[in-house]
Amino acid sequence: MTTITMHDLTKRYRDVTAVDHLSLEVRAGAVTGFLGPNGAGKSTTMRMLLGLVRPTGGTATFDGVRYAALPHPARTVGALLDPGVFHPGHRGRSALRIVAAATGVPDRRVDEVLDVVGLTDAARRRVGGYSMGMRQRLALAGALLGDPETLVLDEPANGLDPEGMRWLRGFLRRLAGEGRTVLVSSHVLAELAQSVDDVVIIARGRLVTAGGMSDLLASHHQTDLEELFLDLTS
Amino acid sequence: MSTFVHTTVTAEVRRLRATRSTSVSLLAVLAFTAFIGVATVLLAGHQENGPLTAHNLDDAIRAPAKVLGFVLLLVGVLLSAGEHRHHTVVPTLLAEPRRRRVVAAKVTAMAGLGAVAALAVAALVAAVSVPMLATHDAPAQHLAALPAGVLALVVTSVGYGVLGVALGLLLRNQTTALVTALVWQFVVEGILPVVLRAPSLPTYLPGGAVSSLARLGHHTAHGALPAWQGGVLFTAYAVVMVLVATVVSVPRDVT
Repeated sequence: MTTITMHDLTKRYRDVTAVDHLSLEVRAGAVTGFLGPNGAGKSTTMRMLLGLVRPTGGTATFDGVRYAALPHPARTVGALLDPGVFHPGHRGRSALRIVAAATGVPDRRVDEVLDVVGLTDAARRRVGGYSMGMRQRLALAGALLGDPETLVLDEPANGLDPEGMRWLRGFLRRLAGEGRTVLVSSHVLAELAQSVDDVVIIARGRLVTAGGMSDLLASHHQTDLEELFLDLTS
Repeated sequence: MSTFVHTTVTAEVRRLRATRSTSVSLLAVLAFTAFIGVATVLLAGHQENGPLTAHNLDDAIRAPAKVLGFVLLLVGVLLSAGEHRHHTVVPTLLAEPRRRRVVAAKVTAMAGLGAVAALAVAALVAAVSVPMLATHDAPAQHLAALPAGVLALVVTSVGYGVLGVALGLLLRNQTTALVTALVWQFVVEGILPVVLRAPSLPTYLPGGAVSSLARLGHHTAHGALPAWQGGVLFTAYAVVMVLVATVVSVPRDVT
């Protein structure tokens, strides 16, 4: 049971403040939707959380520990930040075997996660020949390699067909049901509304609101997530 | 240490093996460099080349040093800068966020590849050359000259591969890194001594150090360093480049 905590998290690029004193908590056993307009700072926040981008100030931790200081980071936290993170000349299985070696998980786990995301039949094909949806599934397989307690997913529904989206929805619900922590950003609000328990909305790098989805809808007199989002960010 | 080798280094070795362009170019260069070595023996005694002697095997093994080294330099660039081009740096750093370890793994994998490639070329050259030389001279003499030549080839190959990794880490953009390597090798080392009016400078640049190590430059007007000094100088270039690349690349954001 891992809690994600961000405290006063800030990132400035010269004159631009991408993330501005952001503080929030993401609980275990729930799917938390991380929402914001384009350029709100969602991806930068996730990259700071995962140690890829150095914060200008503040902290982002998993149960109080920075990602880089976790004893087995990729076995504790699985992340999908971009579907295009595999060499197009590598075969699907080879690409995952590289990550598996770096993560310290056995090769048999590669076949397991390929099966989970439905890519077993495409495992020997080169990634360059994959569709966008297949790349997204491969990236998700990479995130699952270490069987992590926590998942951080940036736009995981991008490129998925309706069947894939339904599968993803059920998959995220199952992970949360197992007590895992799931933080997921998405622009497809109608889709996200069917999967999330909690919602965090940011705009211009700052926290707009956070809480249980039903509580937020009730307190803002809204009936769906899209209306709530537009009401708070426009 | 064993965990580091078992995980991060293994991942880099797998990356090298899985990348088709790396495998194909290495196989091609192995064949080509072996040909250079064999040609050194075959051409001995013809035109202005000296006669076939016991030293020819040593020369033949050292002869491919620059060509093999340069290809390994490019492979090293692909191993590091290629990660940014294809965004594979993201899963790499998620799996191992301690970035110095990632640098160390790339350097280790590339050094290993350089050593294996050098030994393969040396074995190929020796396999063809020794029987030919044996018909002209005592075989024992040829074999006695072997270790120094092989060592020179290994040091050159390892050093160039490591330099490639460092260059890729430093510049991140794969095309810029490859062009920089080409321009440095074929333009800067030639122009710099003229611009700086320092005719002896080439001896002390990386290419000159390799020429000294591989005994490729002893015919030049400004001479060369003893082979061991060339090896030490070239190794120093590689080490300094890796240190600079580590200091510069580790704190960078991956966006």
